[in-house]
Amino acid sequence: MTTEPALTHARAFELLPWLVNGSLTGTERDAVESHVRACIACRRELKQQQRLHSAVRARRSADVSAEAGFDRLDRELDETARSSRLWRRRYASAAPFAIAAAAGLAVLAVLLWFTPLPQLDTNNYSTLATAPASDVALLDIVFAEGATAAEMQELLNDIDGEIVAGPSQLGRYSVRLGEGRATSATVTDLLDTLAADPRVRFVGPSLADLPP
Amino acid sequence: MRPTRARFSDDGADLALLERIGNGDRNALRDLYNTYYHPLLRFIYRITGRLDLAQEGVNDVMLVVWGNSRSFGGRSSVSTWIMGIGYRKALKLLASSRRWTDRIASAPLEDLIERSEVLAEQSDDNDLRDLLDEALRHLSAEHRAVVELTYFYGCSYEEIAAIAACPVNTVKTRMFHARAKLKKLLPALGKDAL
Repeated sequence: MTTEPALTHARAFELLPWLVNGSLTGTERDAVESHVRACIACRRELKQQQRLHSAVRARRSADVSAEAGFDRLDRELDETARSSRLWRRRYASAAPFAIAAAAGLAVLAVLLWFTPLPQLDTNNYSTLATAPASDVALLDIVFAEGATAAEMQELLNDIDGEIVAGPSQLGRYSVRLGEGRATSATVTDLLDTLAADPRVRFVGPSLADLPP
Repeated sequence: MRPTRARFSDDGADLALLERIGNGDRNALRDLYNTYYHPLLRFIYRITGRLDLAQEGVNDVMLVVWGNSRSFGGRSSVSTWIMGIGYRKALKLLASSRRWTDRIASAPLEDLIERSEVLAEQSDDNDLRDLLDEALRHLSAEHRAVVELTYFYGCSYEEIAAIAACPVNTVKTRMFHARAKLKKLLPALGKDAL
């Protein structure tokens, strides 16, 4: 003979609804039943819960046909399937374009990946303070404010130069030097000379490309 | 004699239907629908208090079943799984409607207790059932669900915990408070007690 473990009153009281509905099993059911036999408060409560159980089970359920409900569900599923097919058809026609676009983007990405990044050519990078390279043949000159056209022409004659562009909004002219003056040493000297010339406000090796 | 538990489906049969539903079998869905229609309708109706919401809820549940039958993991019985979906749908429908809550808030609580006291003297169980409807509306939706699942569907507290996705102790506590409130609202419950 097995003996069920004793339950506290609170625990047995708590489990009474499941004793009433028959879902307690094994030792737990035996323990609750054993407690109820010895406890007048639990017997009273058990009686009340049995009445509640009967009353709940006796309550009327809604008398509604399942058929109409399923017909609605069936139509809803048909509708969902139809919109899903429509959606697939609509987007299926656009699919080749989407695939082509995606493939194009992929190819572009691969090309970009293998294209070397532009390197900063430090040898060609120059500022106005940088010494001109040996093949420099173009200067930027801003004439002094009071310099006349004759004075400007006279200076150009002195350096064997020819205005090829300008003036810019700031009054800068691009001046091409004659071939005899286009060596590095000559240009450096010339820059020094021009910088000291009162007809010149600014001079430097040109950053512009030589016009053809 | 022990009371029999209210069971409305056979798990083996439900599993077979679920497998066919997973393959897109609409007839299997109809069979499962017919099995669960009234249990679900009643359950959702008891929680929401509105038949229109209950009907909507049943179809919502079955749509979930149709779309997710393959993901049923078998961690519980099919009925527990479906009633769990129904429980969540019912709470969601109730929260979105709110009108039911407003209605029960305006119900005359004192009248109900007084009528129940008169009933206790007259000893009429039919009237007790009518008053029970009204008294249950004064419980929270979660408490109503536990009472309904215990006393109408015969669920164990473990099954209710699985349906409501909460610990078993929460189920016991909800039932304890529901019982206390119903006793207060329905003194007729205590008549003829030992």
